[in-house]
Parts: sequence; structure tokens; C-alpha cells
Amino acid sequence: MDPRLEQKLHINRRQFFGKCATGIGAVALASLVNPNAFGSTARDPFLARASHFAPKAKRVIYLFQSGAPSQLDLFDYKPTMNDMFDQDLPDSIRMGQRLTGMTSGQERFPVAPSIFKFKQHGQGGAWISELLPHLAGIADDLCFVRTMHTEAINHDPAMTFFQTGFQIAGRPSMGSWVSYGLGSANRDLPSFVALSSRGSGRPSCQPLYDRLWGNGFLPSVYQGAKFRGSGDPVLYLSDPPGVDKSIRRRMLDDIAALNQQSYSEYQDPEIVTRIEQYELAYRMQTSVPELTDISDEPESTFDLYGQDAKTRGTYAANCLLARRLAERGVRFIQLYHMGWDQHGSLPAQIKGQCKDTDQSSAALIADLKQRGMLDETLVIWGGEFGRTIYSQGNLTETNYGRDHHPKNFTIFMAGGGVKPGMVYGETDDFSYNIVKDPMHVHDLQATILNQLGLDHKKLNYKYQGRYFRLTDVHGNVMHDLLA
Amino acid sequence: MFKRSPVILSLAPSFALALLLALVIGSAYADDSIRFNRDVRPIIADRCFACHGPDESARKKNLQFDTEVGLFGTTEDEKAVIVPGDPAKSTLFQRITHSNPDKRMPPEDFHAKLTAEDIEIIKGWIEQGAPWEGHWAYIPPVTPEQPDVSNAHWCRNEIDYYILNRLNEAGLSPSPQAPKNTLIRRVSLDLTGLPPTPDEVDAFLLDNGADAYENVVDRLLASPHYGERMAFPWLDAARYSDTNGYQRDTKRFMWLWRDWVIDAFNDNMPYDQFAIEQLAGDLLPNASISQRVATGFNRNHRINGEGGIIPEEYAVEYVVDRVNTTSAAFMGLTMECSRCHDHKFDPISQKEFYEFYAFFNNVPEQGKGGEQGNDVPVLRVPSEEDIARRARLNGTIDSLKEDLTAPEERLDALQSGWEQDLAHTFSLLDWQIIEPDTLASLNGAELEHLEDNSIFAGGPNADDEVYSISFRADRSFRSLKLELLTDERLADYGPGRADNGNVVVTGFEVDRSPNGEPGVVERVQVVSAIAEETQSGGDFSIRNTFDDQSETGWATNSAADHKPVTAIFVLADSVAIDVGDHITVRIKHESKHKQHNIGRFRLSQSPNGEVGNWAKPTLGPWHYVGPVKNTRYGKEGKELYDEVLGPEEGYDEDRSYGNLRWTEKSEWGDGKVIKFGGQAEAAHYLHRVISVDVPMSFHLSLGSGDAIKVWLDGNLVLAKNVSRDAAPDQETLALYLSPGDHDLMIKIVNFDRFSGFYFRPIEDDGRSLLALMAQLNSPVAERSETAQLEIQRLFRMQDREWNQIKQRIVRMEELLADYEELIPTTMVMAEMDTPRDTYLLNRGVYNNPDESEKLFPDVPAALGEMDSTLPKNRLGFAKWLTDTAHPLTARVRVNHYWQMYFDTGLVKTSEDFGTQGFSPSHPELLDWLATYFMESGWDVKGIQKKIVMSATYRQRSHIREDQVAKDPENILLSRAPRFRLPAEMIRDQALYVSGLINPEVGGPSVMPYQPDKMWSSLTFQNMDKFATNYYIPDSGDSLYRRGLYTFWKRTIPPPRMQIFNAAGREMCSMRQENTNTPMQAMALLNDPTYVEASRHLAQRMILEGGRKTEARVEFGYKLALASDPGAEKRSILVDGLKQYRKHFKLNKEDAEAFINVGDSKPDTSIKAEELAAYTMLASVILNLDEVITRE
Repeated sequence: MDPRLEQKLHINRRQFFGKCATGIGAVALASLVNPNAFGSTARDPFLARASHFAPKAKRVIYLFQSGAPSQLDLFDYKPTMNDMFDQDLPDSIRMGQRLTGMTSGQERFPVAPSIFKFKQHGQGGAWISELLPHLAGIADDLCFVRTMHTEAINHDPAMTFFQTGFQIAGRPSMGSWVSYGLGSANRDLPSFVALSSRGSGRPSCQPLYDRLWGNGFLPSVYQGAKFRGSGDPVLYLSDPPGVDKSIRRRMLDDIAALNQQSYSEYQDPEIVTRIEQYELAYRMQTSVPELTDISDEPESTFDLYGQDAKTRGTYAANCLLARRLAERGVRFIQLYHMGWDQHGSLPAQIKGQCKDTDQSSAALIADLKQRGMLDETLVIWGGEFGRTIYSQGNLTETNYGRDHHPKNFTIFMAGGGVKPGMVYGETDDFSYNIVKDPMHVHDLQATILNQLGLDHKKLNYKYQGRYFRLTDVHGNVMHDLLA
Repeated sequence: MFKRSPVILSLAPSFALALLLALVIGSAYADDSIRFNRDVRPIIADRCFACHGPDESARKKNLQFDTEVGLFGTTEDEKAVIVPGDPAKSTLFQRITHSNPDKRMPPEDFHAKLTAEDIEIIKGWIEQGAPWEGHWAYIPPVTPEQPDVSNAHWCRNEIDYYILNRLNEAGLSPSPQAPKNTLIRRVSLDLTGLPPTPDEVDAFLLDNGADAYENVVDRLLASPHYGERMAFPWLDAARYSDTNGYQRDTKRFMWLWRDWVIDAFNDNMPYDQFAIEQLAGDLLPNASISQRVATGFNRNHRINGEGGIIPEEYAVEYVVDRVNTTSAAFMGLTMECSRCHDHKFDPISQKEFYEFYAFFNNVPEQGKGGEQGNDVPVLRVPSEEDIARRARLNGTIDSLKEDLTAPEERLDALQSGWEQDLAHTFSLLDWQIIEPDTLASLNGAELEHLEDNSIFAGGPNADDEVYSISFRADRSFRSLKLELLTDERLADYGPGRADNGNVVVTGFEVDRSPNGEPGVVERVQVVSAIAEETQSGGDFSIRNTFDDQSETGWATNSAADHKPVTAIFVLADSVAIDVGDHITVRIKHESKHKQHNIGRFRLSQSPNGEVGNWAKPTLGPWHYVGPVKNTRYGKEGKELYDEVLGPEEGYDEDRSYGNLRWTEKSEWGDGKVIKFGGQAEAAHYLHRVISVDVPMSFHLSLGSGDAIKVWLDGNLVLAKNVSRDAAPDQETLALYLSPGDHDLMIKIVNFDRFSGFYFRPIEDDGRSLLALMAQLNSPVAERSETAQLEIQRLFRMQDREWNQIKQRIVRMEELLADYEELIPTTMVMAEMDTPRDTYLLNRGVYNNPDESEKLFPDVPAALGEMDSTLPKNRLGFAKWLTDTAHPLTARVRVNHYWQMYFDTGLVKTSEDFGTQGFSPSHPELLDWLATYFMESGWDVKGIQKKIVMSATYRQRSHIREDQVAKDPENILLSRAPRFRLPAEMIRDQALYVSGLINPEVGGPSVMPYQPDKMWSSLTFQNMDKFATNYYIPDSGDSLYRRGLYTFWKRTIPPPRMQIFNAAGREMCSMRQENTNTPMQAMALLNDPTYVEASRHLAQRMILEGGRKTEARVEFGYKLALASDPGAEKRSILVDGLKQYRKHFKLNKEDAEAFINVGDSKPDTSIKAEELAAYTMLASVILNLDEVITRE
């Protein structure tokens, strides 16, 4: 419950009950006699809730590319850089911008043009690198933003910033805000699910943290459920060895009967809720394996997503799982693919990362489209920042590395009411500074909430005496991007 | 995933709310005692303070409603904000009810609106005369009068009067006392976190004495488990964790602090002391180790070690974290808002925030840290046992060292013979002093030929200088000796002409004109040189005198002591110097050290050319075998380091190890890092032969990635288990070499990332040899003690026995060093000598200080000034905080305790006592508890005993209809609250009732079961001993420690804790909200912890519960619930058991599988299907709502 409301009830109810006649008692009693099957909470997280205004999208699938993919080698085509090979990045471009501790000691900042070929694709003419042929093939479904920018220059704070709107941990993640705002559309599954995979481009990669899908100061029911790539998809989902369904059912009935006895004695509706939770757990033991069991998918699915989709825990498998979660009404599905942090040997590593993600990302969007779900699903693809035009470490004709670059980078979106086939924003020749149409992290967050029918300024929660929201005290909905 | 809920809103929320509000508005009319603090302030704080509150910069129209002056002041056009008794004339009321939406407050676009009910309350308050009250929490508490109650016989102590008074007012009666079974379980769980044993239950049931309950309470308060129970919520407040919390989330070691907290509670440390020691223990006079350990409270914050961070940015975050944690945990204040701007709701300005910040800004810490475990400042904390062991080891080492030099007949006899032999060897050198013919200088020095054939340099002392000394060779020679001599005419006695008496010789050249033929000059190469002494620090080797570079040179430490010093130069044997040759020696001074020219010197010559070789060991080529892989990947490489792998059994070039063989690596040079490629978790072995001609000590500089061991002739001489990348000069090592060949073996163990090694002989320029020569020339009686010892050492190291003692000392010292490393450290607070400057940070950003005004430590004015006698540091702050005049400290603390016993504090927002927090439900009781607590001398056990002894606490938890109607949330406490146990208690209880628990108190954190790959799927693959990449569960007893000791990884907390709503430990947390979710059901049903505990509970039922099924079932139930199940529950349980038995009889393999869950083995005296059936029954019991609930 909103603590402000709670406070009011707290104070005024006391006044009221202290002085006044009955009346309200009947309401409370009704809940005792006939408790809601899913608990009597004012904000039942398994209950769908009304949005602030009519939503364009029912759900979000966020394909988070952890480690920060190089915009220079994938989307932000800078042909003039070829003539600048190994020349120093002009001070007029860098403008004394702060650098990470990794390259701040470097004597030179030599320009490293991308070695990959670019072509324009689709009606919108988006430049896309040869590394992403499948995504290039659906360019007209995509809305590119080349001018994302952020404030953080290191992974941990930058990831935390993207996920929670603040660099220091402790605030709720985007998915938590959405499930707090909208509740769930499926009573047997959580409304916010997180999935992770490890990249083949750079296996030793930036770590992920529970806080990225954490609830911060929101009640813990709103935290993302991490579906795991190995073992039980949901923690403790499987019955112990030697326990089959028949005996599990029997013992659950016994627990229910005994809890019912306790309820008769104590009259606490929380006991009824507990009984329901055991039933829901039992149902999840069926619904989750059904969800994750892909044996019902036809071979054409794997032609589309790639054969990797058959291997649990891969990015491709997670993309397929994302579609299955979306079909079941999960509101916020977030994939994390690790391994984009290419400080050195970028050309070799990025190939692996693209191979992991290109086909299945494109497949997911195409699949949603063919199922008529793309319009109501907002898909987002992007990392926590971009990478520098100058090489970190040695630059050769065929090899270079790139350091963190927060000042501009590219993400793309699809479906969910954003304009398809659009390219938004311009960067300078070095992909170092934004020339036109910037989009801040808080703007993206405001826009995502907006598409879900939520006003980012109104979706707030009072904690430690202050109202907090995902966009802190910033953020603008990017109407230019919306269809 | 359902939130624990108040009963009232079971209907569609909007409907329930509307209904409620309708009723409440009615009540507001009826109530003629609207109170400002209780009713009005929350409304205006929420709706108005954002623009008309404490934040000066945000304040509109200069109107301020958070102060009495402001609220009863006037508007810009001189109209009264409030006219007491007359709402219509009050500007505030006019504006909130204005018909024009543009003029109506709060503005349309403000996120919070005033409701009709709010407006009615404000109106009613103005009509009543608008009585003002300051914010209750900032007014120091005074002991209130005990209220009159109608049925005082119910009351057991003071608390009950305050509770009963409110119940009377509300027309509610308290509940009767809970049954004794319930009561003993409740109080046992509340005070120790563990349920009572059946014996304890029975004893209590049989004890009909008046003090039976009090005796139980006293027993529990004296239990060591009391401290554990009390510590847990404090660890949440103090954001205690076993990892650093950013990026790689490396390990830290703060359990000594955690144990300090447990001990403090168990010793019943008064709360003021508890606070002072944690905040400023290090500043107390003669601070004890324990008092310094306590200060870890403010080092529990997260620390960032990510590669590219800007350290200054995080240094600020750590201080801010201390401010937030200290203010929330001790004062219930949310100061965080004031970091970026004046607080919008509470009277804390941004400037005051940074003055508060200044208290915590003087820690000699680094912004980036934690990659290597605990970060500075740290304290090493030896236990008494450690201190004793350290003394024992030191004693042994000392006595061994004495053995090394103790007189020994056999050796001493041999030594004199050896000395004579050596003196003979040296005599072969046969030095002859050179008598120069001509002397010349390049830049004006006047060289004077003295009587002893030494040469003195006078006259101008140029920056650079070259001396030329010519003479006729009167015999063939191979070596030249240069003696630098002192002279009283020189600055500081010389031997150099520089102010400090030093010299830097950059070149030593020898030219020969055969038979003195003019015009024919031939260079005679210097091929080696040795020096008695070389200046340490920087490269001042004697070799620099005959290299190609003119700037580098030789300098000595002896110059600083103004002692003579000697060097010997050996000439190439390719050019023979004959009698009659004309020789010119040029001594050059061309370094950047100006005027470092020799002041007085002498030259000698000798026909012996071997002396140069004596001083130099010959190093054979490297031989290498590797990488030798560990079979057990993931074990932090520790085993690989300890394990004796094949190559270590002794160098044998013909031996192979699997497909690995020794191979020669002649290309590996010295003095640079050699890399082995990226094999993680592998060992590498290196071998080479070292040969010497004379006894000598040989110094080595080494580097290794990661751990290293070195053996000399099979004796371990260095062992260091470290995680690092190889780099130059990480270790130095002295080898004592007798003449002959020696085997040097090196083992490098790589844990992760880059592996390699570094090897460089440290030139000692033959120092020991020359020293020996000089000393041997003097009779024994005239030798200094050091010289005599040195000669003895050089002799004795040729003795095998002596060497064994020596190596034993090396090993013992290594052991001691290893042991020292094992003595745990903990992070502590400390003060820098020069305090760091503190400035207000604009918008809270680290690199945006307002340097116009330097700020100094101080406390927020609204909370009362610091006494002028108090120092303006953390100690002064802590004393101010614990002064009985402080309005918040005692209230916040008793409220936190109250929350432990009643689930909800008297102030519900236990972390926020400010204007935006909840008002207390029982303000007088809160103040009574606070003042009683302070008057008792902050007696923690005392105040807690007071609470649990009250009749209020002892009530039943059954819910009655009239209570639900009048007080659905049980705010008035007409019954005891029933609430789900905290996360750690659920597991502790299961372990305890099953008998599995390991009740040990304190010590390093442990790793109980956790689902596979929870860490590894999200982390770096890079490994070192501080990494948290792999979760490797403990085995045996450590699996069954209480939850308080579970290793807490901040970025991926223990799932069992997280599922049951434990705090996240990223930041200070004063309370957790309980949820009721299917994940909890799955955890209790399927987590191996609970399956294994069920089996042990089953074993106890069968083995201790008697022979009859009913008795066994009752026993199991009683273990968990301290009571009998009663007929109905018993029949459900017994019927269930029969079914389970039937099932497992038919499915024996299932039974076997089920009872083998967990690390412990099932009791084989019980049939598998029987044990399985009882295990299922026990699992039913452990899953019951009542069992995980505190009734």
C-alpha cells in the first residue's frame, strides 16, 4: 500500500474507531468470512491494475546487451574515420571529457575506424554493419536511436543507472516499477522475469547483480523473478528426489487441513493466504516447466531463432523463452547478454557477440510480428553505454580495443507503438559528441513507462519521507519516436 | 508473492477507500480535538512543504509552514497565513479552497492533492484556535504521567497502563494471557531466535510459582543465543556483509565486528557505550582492540574496486553512506535528501548535511579498493591463542638463531684453517700501490700527489670532471684497485667533493702505450668489477663505470658515513700489459649529479685476474615444465599450491609428467617478466643451476603470478600464497651459497588471468668478498663483532648441519609470516593527522564543491547543539548523540526493540522519525520507554525484560471479531500480534528442532547449501582468493550454523534469506516488510536444508518419541510448537503418516532417494520407508503456518 494512504488510514482509523459507531466492521468481517482467493491485500501483485492512460504496449521485452556494445562497429557509421586512421583524436572533440581509469593514463588517443563494412537497409536507410545480417533484414521494423547518452562511465554504476534511474544501488528496477504500477496479467507467473546468458565473444565478462532486477525499497513481491539457465528455472521449483506428484498432493492436502485448523483457532486471514500460496506453488510447479519446455515448438521455430535456441541458457533460448513468457502475459521480460566489454581485441570478440545475438534478436521481433504481438510488445535492444572512437591499447590495421563512452551510443526499439524504420539523432564524425536530438536514459525510461500507459511523474512511491520515481526528477517522453 | 495485508481492504481498493473516507470525514466533524502533530502536520508536510518548507531554495513566495513563525506569519501582501478560530480569514485556507483552479493550492501539476477530508481537518483545526505543536520527535522526551485505567488489575507493569488506557478509550478490552506453551515458545523465539526444547516447556508448565515466567525470561536473557538474536536486526541496520558490493563483489572480512555486536548484547553493554564504541571507539583514550573493532560499523558500507572508476567519486559515496546509516540507525533521520539540497520536510539544511559529513570525512581510506579483501584502514586482531602461538614461534626462531652463531668446537677448529687458506688465496692478489707519474684534470681540479701515493683533488670543483692518472707499469698486471679515501680538507671528510661527501664515478678507462711509445694508444677493456659498497635505491652499480653510457655511474652508501671504500676493476686478458708500458687511467664524473667528483683516492695493481669471477655466480639456463593442471577446478587453487606435484619431487631432466617434459628455455632473459600464457588453475616449474667459486650470499629479486614457492637444493626457502599478476621486484630473497653447484627450483601457481615470473640477480658487487678480504687481513682480536660474525657465517654456511638450521629458520619465519597472514583483520575507522577539507557539494556531486566556505564538523541545529566541552569529532558527536537530552536516540532505540516484539514499532516508520514518518501510535508510552531506558543507564536487557514481562506482551494472539471491527491492524494491541518469523529464524528453528544445529557462537562466515550456479552464472570468470565466482558449500558441521553466520554476498544474497524478506544489506535497513508468497512455500518444501532437517526431525520422533505412533507424532509436533496437537490435528497427522508409509512401502527407491537428501547420512537403524514416511510427516510440520509464525 502507498504509505501515504496507509498513514492516513492509520491515523484516521484510530480516531474513527476510538470515537465512532460500527459500520466498517462489516467490511472487515466480510473479508474474514469470504477472503479473496488470492489474499486480501490492497495491492495484490497478481492482480492487473489500471494504467494512468490507455497503453500502447502491454508488455516490454528488454534485450540488455551487458558490457556496452560498440556503436561504431554496429550502427553508427563513420566513413570519414578511415582517413583518420591512427591519428590523434582532436582535443576539440574530446573537450577534456573525463575518461575511465583504464585509458586516462594513455599517452595517445589514436582514431580506430571500424574494420567492418556497413550498408544501408530498409526504407529508412539505417546503416547497419555486416556483423548483423539478420537484424539488417528487419530494419524497417526497428527504430534506432543513435544519441542515447548516460552519466556513468563504468559498468556497475551505468547498469544500475539504466535499471533503476540512479547510479547508486538501492532503488527499484524498471521492471519492479512496472509490476508495481500494472500488476500481473497471469496469476500463475510473476509479472517481471529476468533471464541471463553468457557471451561467447568475451566469456570472462562483466558480472550481473540481483539488484538489476531488484525491488529496491518497493515491497519485495515486485522484484524480478530470475529464471535460471541451469537447474530449476525458478529456485526450489522441483520436488526433492523421491517425492512424486501423488505424495506431494497428499502432503499438501494435509498441510492445508492443518492450516485450516489453525485458521479456525486464530481467525487470521494471513493463514488463508498461506493456504493459497501452497496451492499456487503447486500450480507453478506445472506452469513453469510447461513454459520452459520447448519440446512443443515446431522445427520452424529453431530455423527462425537458430539451433542455439535448443540449448538452455543461451541468448537464443532466452529469446524464445521471452516470446513464450510474453504469450503468457508476463509484463516485463528482461534478458541480459554478457560479454560486450571489448577493451582489446574488439574485432574478434564482437563477432562472437553478434553471432550469439543477431539471428535470435531478429527472430524474436519477426516472431512477435507474425503472431500479431509486436504492436503490443515494446522490444528494446541496447547496452549501458557506448565505446570510444580511439583505440584502447595497440592499434593495428586489423586489431583495436575501445574504452567506455557514455556521451553517445546506439540502441534500437521495435513494436509497442514506436515508429518503425526510423533513425533518430545525429552524432559527430567521431561518434564522440551528440550533434542533434539527444536522448537521455531518463528519457528512455519515461518513454517506456509511457508506452505502458504509465506517467513517469505519477508512478511514485514514498520511502524515507520522500517520493521516489524511476526517472528521479528528470525524464521526458520522446514523442518524436512514437507512432 | 502476496503482501502481508491489512484486513480492511479486501474489496476493490477504490471502493473500500471511498467507504472508509466517507466514514472518516464524518468522524472528523465529530472529533473536537484535532491535534496539530497528529492530524494536521502530516497533511501540510506532504502537500505544502515541498514549496513552503525547510528548503530555502525551493521556497515559493517566502512562505514557510514548517515553523511556528512561518505558519503564523504573513504573506507578501501582509495578510495572516492563519487566523486562529477563523478559517475564512486565513489565507492558507482561502487558497486551498479557492474556486479558481489557477489560484487553488497545491497547484494542479503538483503530484499530491488535498482531499475533502484533508481540508475539513485543516478547517477544524483553525476553528479550534489553531494550536501549534513542534514536531514531536525533535522535543526531548519527558517521563509522562501514568494514565488512569479502569481495570488496573490487568496491568503487570508501567507499559500496560499506557496500552490499556488507549484500549479503554477505544472500547476494547485486552486479550487474556496466552497459554503457557504459546508464551514460552514466543518469548524463546523473541529473545534467542530458537524455540524451547520439550524439557524446557515441561519445566515451565510444571512450575506454578509466581516467578515461573520471569525465570524463563532471565534464563533466555542469559543465553549466548540472546546476543545472536539481537545482533541480526543490527546487522541489517549496519548493512553488514561478507562482500564489497560492487562489480566483482569481492570478499571482505568483517565477522570480528559481527562477533563484537553479539558479545556486546550478551555482555549487556549499555546502549550509550554500544553507540559510542561503534561510532568513535578508536578515539576513546587508550582505545582497546575491542573498541577499535567496534568502529567497523562505519566501514560496513560498500566499497568499489572496478577498474576504471574515479576514486574521488566513490570516496564521497562512502562518507555519504556513513552519514545516512548513522543518522537512520541511531536517530531515525533521513538525512540523505539534504545531500543535494535543503531537506524539503525536515529541518536539515544542505550545509548542515556537509557539516555532519565532516565528522566522517577524515578516514585514511582510498576511494577505490576492496579488490584484495579488506581495505585500509584495517586492524589485525590476534586472539590470545594467536599471541601465544606467535610467541612460541618467535622463541623457537630466536633459539635457532643462537645456535647458528654459538661456539662449536668442531666448526671453530675448521674455521681457523679455512681462514688461513682463504687468506692465502687473497694473498695471491698481491696488491702493489701505484706511484703516478703525471696527473691531469679536464675542468680545472688541482690534483695533488700525497706521500702515501694517494691523490687529493683541490681547486675548482666543476660540475663534470675527468681525472687522468699516468704511470709506468713496472710489472704485468690484470687488476686495478681504486680506494676512495677520506680527508679532513673535504666537505664532511669526503671521500667526494660534493656537499654530502658522495661521489658518482661514471667511467673508469685504461689506456696503454706499449713501451711508452708516443702516439700509440691502445684501450684495455675493463671486463668486470666488484665494489665493497654500492648505494642502495636507484641504479648505482659498479658495472655502470664500464658500460657505454656516460651518465650512469657508481656511488656508495659509505660516502654518507665518510668511510673509505674500495672497488676492483679486472682487465681483459686479451691485452697483456708488459713491463715498461705507459698506462693512463681516466676516472670520469659525468652524471647528472653535479660536482660529485672524487676528493681523495689511490690506485693499486695486481697480476691476478680471477678476483672478478669470484664474486659472480654462474647461472645456468632455465628448464621449464608446465602447465601442470589441477584436477579440481574451482577450488581457489589452494590445493594446487599445497599439493606436491611431480616436478616438485626433485629436478630430473629425463622425467616426464603425463605429456609434459622439462624443456630448456635459454631464451628466457633475466630482469623482465616472462609470461606463460593464459592457463588458469595451473602450476609452472622452473629450474636452473647456480655455481659459485667462493662462499657468498646471493640476493635475488623475484616476481610471480600468482603464488610462488622456491627451493634451494631441495630446501624450501620461499613460499607465498598470493594472488597477483607477475611484476618486477615483488619478492626479494637471499641465498647463502657455498662454493659449488646449487639447484634452484621455482614453482608458480596461477589462479587466474595472466601467469608469469620475474627473476633478477641483485648485483651485490662482491661486497661480502671484499669485506672478507679486508677483515681477514686483520687479526681475530682486532676484528669487529659484526665482521667476526660475518666471517663465521661465510664459513659455516658451507656446513650441511648449519645450512639445515638456517633453512629451518627460513621455514619457521615463513610459517610465522603465513600465520600472521591468517590472523584475521577487520576494517576500522581511523582519523587522518590532517583532516580532509570538507565543502558543500553542489547538487551532491563529488567534483562540484562550493569552495567559498570550508565546513567543519557540527550537528544539525534543530536537534540541539553540541556542548562546548565536547571535541568536534566523532567522539564528541557520539557523546552528543547519547546525551540524555537528545530527543531521538532513546526513542529510536526503544522503538526498534518494540518492533522486534510486536512486529510494528510504536512509530511504524522505525527508520524515519521526521515529519514525513508516521506519528507514534502511543506517544506517551514511547516517551515513557525512552526515559525509563535512559534512567536505567541504557540497560538493554533491562528494557527488553520490561517489555516481555508486560501483560501487553503476554496476551493471546487469537483474533476476535470486535478487535477486527474496531482496530483491524491491531495498532492498539488488544491482542498479541501473530507474524511470520524472520528469514533467519525459520531456518534456525528447523535446524534446532531437528537437532542438526551447530550452536557454536561467532567466527568466520560459512557457506550452507545453495542452488548451483547462483553465483557463477552472473559473475566474472576471473578468479583469485577474494573472488566470489563459485559458491562452494561447506561440509559437515559448518552447514548447520545459524543463519547469522551465512556468507552474505551483497550482489547475490543468500536465496533462502531473500525469499523470506531479509534486508538486502546494500544500505541501512531498519525494518522489513513480510510477504506471503509461493516461492516461500517451494523453499520450505524443496530446499535440501528443510528436507534434511525434516529427516532429522523424523529420526528424533522415531528414536526419542516413544514406541507408539501417536506419541511420536506428538513429540515431533511439540518439538516444533511447544504444545500438543490436540485430537483433530493429531488425527490428520497420524492419518497422513499412514498414507506416506503406504506410499513409500510401494516405492522403496523413492524412499531411499528422499532420505538421502543432504550432506548427513540417514540413520541406518531405521528402515528406509519408515524414515521416509516420518520425514514427509516432519516436512508437513515444518511447513505449517503456525510453525513459521510467532504466535
